[in-house]
Formats: sequence, C-alpha cells, structure tokens
Amino acid sequence: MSAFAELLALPSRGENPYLQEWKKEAGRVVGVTCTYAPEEIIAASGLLPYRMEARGVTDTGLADVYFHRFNCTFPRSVLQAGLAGEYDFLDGFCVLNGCEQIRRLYEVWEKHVNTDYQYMITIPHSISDAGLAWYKEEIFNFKEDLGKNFGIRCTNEDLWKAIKVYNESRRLVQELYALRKDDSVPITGSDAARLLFSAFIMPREKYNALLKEALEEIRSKDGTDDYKARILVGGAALDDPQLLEIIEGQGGMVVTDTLCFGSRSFGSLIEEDGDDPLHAIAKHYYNRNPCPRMLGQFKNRLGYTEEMAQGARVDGVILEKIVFCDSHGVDTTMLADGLEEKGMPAMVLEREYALSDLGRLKTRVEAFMERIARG
Amino acid sequence: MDTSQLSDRKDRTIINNYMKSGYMGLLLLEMEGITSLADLGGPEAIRGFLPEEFQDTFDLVQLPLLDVILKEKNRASAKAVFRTAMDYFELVNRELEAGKPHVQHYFAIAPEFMWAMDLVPVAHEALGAISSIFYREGCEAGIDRTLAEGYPDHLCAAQTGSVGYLLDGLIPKPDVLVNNSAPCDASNMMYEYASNKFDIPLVMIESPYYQNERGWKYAITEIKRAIEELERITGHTLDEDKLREHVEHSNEAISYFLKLQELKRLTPMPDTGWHRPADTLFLIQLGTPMSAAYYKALYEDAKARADRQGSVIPEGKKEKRLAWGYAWMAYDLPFFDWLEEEHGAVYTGDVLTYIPPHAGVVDTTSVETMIEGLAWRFMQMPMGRQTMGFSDVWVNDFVTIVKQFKVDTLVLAGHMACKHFWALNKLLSDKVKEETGVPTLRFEVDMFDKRFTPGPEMRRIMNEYFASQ
Repeated sequence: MSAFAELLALPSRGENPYLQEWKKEAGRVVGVTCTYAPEEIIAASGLLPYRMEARGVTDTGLADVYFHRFNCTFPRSVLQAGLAGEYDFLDGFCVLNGCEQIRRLYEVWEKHVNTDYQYMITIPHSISDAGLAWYKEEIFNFKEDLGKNFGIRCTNEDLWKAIKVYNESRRLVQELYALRKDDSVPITGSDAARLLFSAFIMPREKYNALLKEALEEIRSKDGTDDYKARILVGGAALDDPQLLEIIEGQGGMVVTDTLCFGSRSFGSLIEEDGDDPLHAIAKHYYNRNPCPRMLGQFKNRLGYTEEMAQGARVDGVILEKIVFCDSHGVDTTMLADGLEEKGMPAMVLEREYALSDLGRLKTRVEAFMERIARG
Repeated sequence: MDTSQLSDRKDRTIINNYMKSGYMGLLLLEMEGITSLADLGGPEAIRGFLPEEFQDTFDLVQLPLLDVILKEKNRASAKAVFRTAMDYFELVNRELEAGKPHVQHYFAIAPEFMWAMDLVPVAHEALGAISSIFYREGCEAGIDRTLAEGYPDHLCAAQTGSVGYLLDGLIPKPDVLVNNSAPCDASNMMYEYASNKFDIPLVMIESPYYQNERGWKYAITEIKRAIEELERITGHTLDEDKLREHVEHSNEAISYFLKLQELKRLTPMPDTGWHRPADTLFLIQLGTPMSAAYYKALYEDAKARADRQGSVIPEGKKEKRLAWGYAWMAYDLPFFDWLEEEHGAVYTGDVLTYIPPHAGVVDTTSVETMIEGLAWRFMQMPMGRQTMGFSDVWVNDFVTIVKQFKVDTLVLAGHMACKHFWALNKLLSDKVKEETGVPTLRFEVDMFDKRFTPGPEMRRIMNEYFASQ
C-alpha cells in the first residue's frame, strides 16, 4: 500500500495499527481534546498524544445518561466511545477548557470512564500578557505532572526535538495546502482532510515520513479543474471527511479551511531560535489563529478567513457548526455576515457530529453551489 | 416618583418602564387593606385610577404577579423589590443624563470599582431579564429580535433579550462592555457579537479556573487590568474614596444577604419564595445604597417571621423544602407563591442565590485591600463561582445546601441554554442522593422565556410529582 493510500485509510482507535504497535511496545498514550493542547510536551515526554475523536459513533445511549439532549454531540460521542471501552488504550487524558461542554467531559470521564491519569489545562479566554503567563504556567505544571505520574523526564532538549518534529509536520502540511492553490487541484478536500486527521492519531515522526512520500505521489497526479466552485470550509471541529464529501459531491472543491483539525493546527510554526522551548510552545499555541472561544478576536478571525479564502482563490465559504455549539453557533453567523459584506459568498450549515439528515445537507450545499458556480 | 426624570429618548424605554413599574407597584402596595386586585375592583378599575403616565406600564405588567405581591406575607419583600426597581433605575437614569460613560457588564462582576471610576455600570442581562419578571410578554420581543439576526435559539435569553433591546434601540448603547469569561460560551459570544455589531470596546476579565490562592492572585491581576483598560477607554480613573464608599455599601448588602441566607436554614422557612429571581438580579445593585436597603428589607422581613415562628405556607400544611439545583424561572414568580400555598413547598436555595459564607467582607483599608477583596468576592458570586472551574464546586455547594437547609427534594429545573449544567446534572443528582438520600426531580425550562415551559405546564409537573410522593 502506498503512503498516500495508507494515510487515507488509517483507522482510528482500536483498529489503528500504529496505536497497536505503540501499545505492544509498552508505549503509553495520552488523549487530548483540543488544539490548544501542547502535544509537543506529551511527545517530548515519550508519550503518544492522541486527539480524541469519535468517528463511527452513531448511537450515544450510554453517554445520554450524562450529557443531556442540549449538549453538543461531539463530547457526547467521545464520552460514548469512552464508556463503551473504545478508549481503554488511553493511559492518560488531558482535557482543556476549550468550551463548556468539552470541559465538563473531564468530571464525567473521571467518574465513569476512569482513565488512570487525567489532567486539566486551562487557557484564558482573551489575549493578554497575563493570560500568556497563566497558560505558560499551566503547561509547565502539566509537564511536571506528566513526569511525576509517568516516571519520566522531559528536558529542554526533548522539547526542542519534539518542536522540530511537529514543525516538520506543519511545513509538510503547508506544502499540501500550496498544491491546492491552482485551478487544477491534485487532491480533493476530503482526501486532504483524511491526510490531516491521520497526523493526530499516530506517532508524528512516522506520520511525517509517510506524508513526505504521499506528497510526492500527489505532485505526480494529474489535477482536476472539473468542479463548480472552490470552497473554504470553516467552523467547528471536523474530524470526519463525510461533510466535505457531500460538498464535493455537489460540485464543490474544498481547497482550504480554517478548521482546528486543518490549517489552524498547521498554519504557523513554533519558533526554534529561542532559549526557552516551553515559552516558545506557550506563545505559539496561545497566540495563533484563534478559535471563537478566544474573545475580542473576531476581527482577527474574520481577517484570517479572508486571507485563507483569497490565498486559495475560493468562490465561496461554507461555515459548519454542530448543533448546540454556542461558540461556533454565534461565530459562524458573524463570519458569514462579515464575509458577505465584503463580497465573499458564505453559508452556514448546521449538523450533528455524526452526520445525519444528509438530504438536507446536500440540498443546502447544492443551492449554494448554484449561487456561486464558476462560469 | 419624580416623573420629570422620565426621558423621551427611545433608548430609555426599558429603563423608564422599570422605573414606572417600580412606582406603580409601590402605589398599589401602599393601599391599606388590599390583598388582591379584586379588592380594588379588578384590573380595569385599577387602570382607571392610576396616573395617566403609568397606565401603559400597567398594561404591560403580569396581573398574577400583582395579586401575589398584595398578599400580606409578600408585601414587605414586594416593597423592597419595587422600591429597588424604581430607585436603582432612577439613579442609573440620572447618571446617564449627567453624561457619564455607560458600562454594561456581566451581572456576576462586582461593579463597585466601576462606580468608583464615575462610570455608570448596569448589568447587561438585567436590562432584559427584569422584563421577564414584570411583564406579560417578558423579554420575548428582545429574544426574537436577536434570533431574527440568524443566531441560534439555544443561546441564553439572559443575553439575547438585552441584545435584542439593543438592536431595537430600547436600551442605551454602552460606551464599554465588561464581561468575565465564566459562566459560559453562550454569554461570551453574545458580548463578542454586541461588541462587533455596535463597535463597542470589550473588556474581558478572566475568571480563574481554580478556587485557590493562585486563582485569586490571577483574579486580582485581571481586575487591575480591567481598571487600566477602562481608564484608557473612558479617561476616567479610580478614586480611592469613592471605591471605599461603594465597597462599604456592598459590604453591608452582602452581610445582609448572608444573614438572610442563614435564616433560610430554619424550619419553618421564614423567607417567601416569590422574590428569588429578584434576589439574584438585584445583586446588580452592589455598590449602591439600594443594594443594602434591598437585602436589609428582606432580612428584616424574614427575621420578624422567624422570631414569631411564623411560616410562609398555609396553616395545616406540612412544609416541604425544595432546593432548586439550577435556579428560578423569571417569567413566573407567582409559581413559587403557588408552590407555598398549594403544596406547602418552600424555596430554600438555588445556584443563583447562594453565596458561600466565606465570600466575606472586603477590607476597605486601601485600594489594594479593596481590589483583593473584590477579586475574592468576584470568585464567589453566584453562577461565576459554580461555573468558572471544576463541577465539584456546583455539586458540593448543593450537597451543602441540601444538608444545611434541610432539603427534602432537589428540583433541577434546568435552563435549556445552560450546557454546563446539562453536562453535570447527573453528577449533581447522583452525589446529592449518595450523600443525603434526597431525590431529584428534573425538567427543562428557559429561565426567561415562558414559551418553552409555560406556567401551567410547570404546575402540572409539580402536581404530578407531589402526588407521587
């Protein structure tokens, strides 16, 4: 199987061969819930960070006991996977206060899933010097606690090494995005998303090696310009390509995004020329292109969306939100209004974490395509 | 009431309404020997003898609420509620007319330091939510206005009501918005929206995650940072003497609040339940003379009842003690009076009217001690305290309430917009059952929008519950 095919088809959780191999070699795994989690620290400590997901979970009967119908289906589905034993491979679970519903997962998980080690990292909701100092102290405490709990040392040298590896991922992914900027696109958005999702669920050095090979394969492909419109997708955490397939099934070509599983995780590098790797990590994660949970940053987010849209020459923006997500629930409408005011067509698409009512989604996307189709 | 204070400005519509409602309520309460609207000849007759400038306000007000406040047992607390509505909004109106910069802030931020900067702070949520308390149509027009902009209906009406009023120009556009990061994304995002929509600077105060010294030191830093930002934006600076004056008012208010809270432990319950939403919302007055007057009046009413071993339920009924593990429903204050009259069910505590005793008095020795004390109090304010960190705080507060207030049923009338609550509600009910044996009744409401679970439905739920006991 080629590297490209392997990354496209990488299964998650128990079926993941890299995870199986890691566990067989007595490796330990720490789940993380959010892109504000400093994965470099986990990796530098000799542990495997695993971005929590619940792909394939459609029934949330166990989780519904704890998460009510007004709660977002993302943490609910992750909880379901945990309660069903699908996360028994975790040795640790690092939660962040990314949103109200994710952070409440912490206590429910602690009581009812009971992974051996759990930790909460908190990040302030606005950008300030005091906020950066707080976040840096939080990740320092996390590093120390990881060390104490797992009996490991994480030196500055380990951190710099991890930063290099993760920055390499970021560079490679940026190359992938660059390949999609021309009219002739060598890879669909849904396939590109699959490549990115794999980064979060396998050892990063191995991912980098596979992605490098995959990029060569992609470069050698004939691209296609047989699509109706170039699309940017933004909004809530999207870890399953099904929605992108729906968009592309209606004639769209997803050529870029502002997603946390996408460009927000890979769009900028951690500075490697300083003295303090922890400070470099803190600065990077705290200050990078913000999620709507960071307040007072809407204009930056709108600007970032415009920049990504212009850079990839998109014809329209689709902003997706999960039902009952407050942050994206408001932000997607604000962004859509802001983009439309500037002449960029935008639509807001509401979904559940596990896609359902596909007919409705297809119809809405189809109507949007009719509006923005090229030529 | 000095009616010359009523402004013609459209953006004083809601404030005018609250002042006039307060005055009208006091007019009715001052009538001797009247215990219901029927005693006065019914609504039409009352409308007829009200001064002309208050007749339109009477048309807005919930009539069952007026019947409740005229009952003997509720009069003292009702006078406090309506007096506050009138005096506080008269103060706000006067200060706005004087041209001082206007701040709208999240309700759980201690506003004393803003008063001390000669600003006019008003809790943004109160501007909408008080409509829910007083008026037949509540703040639903505001809610619907916000949703008409394309925003989801699972947001909290605490903000969508006020934001809608802002969109329609019925409340003043503030010069600054001040928000704290707790309780939730829904409230945060509405502040973000209002800031961007109306180009209003937004000052954020981070609510620390931890209830410990590190969290407290961070809260102190955040309040100082907020003061600096307000100074930069408004050109107004913090005055130590003014800060002391406002903190002394709030110290007095909080001490009465805590004394009242202690009384609620007693059997029979000496405090009537109908005014609990106001008890939360009128925390917005902290720092003003009205705040101490409000809680003092409630305390004295409850104390007098406690001293004579009086009860708030009809004679012959067995007292049932409820704790509201979320909170109240603003749109149906008569519901809590009905619970007392119909079922002997009294209101002990809820998450929005519980302040831990150690919230304490702020040391007024210096600006530094006052900011330190205000930071600590900010971490203990209702809703902020229970939501800024781990859910243990909310859960353990309720184990405490159930034990100390001798509760026999925990009612989780959960606000549909509160994602926090709904993700911890099972942890809460399980822990209370485990530690106290007390059962939970759970149902959904929207705290400010009667359309979600109307009053008759709530009565049906409670009737069924009590019938099953």
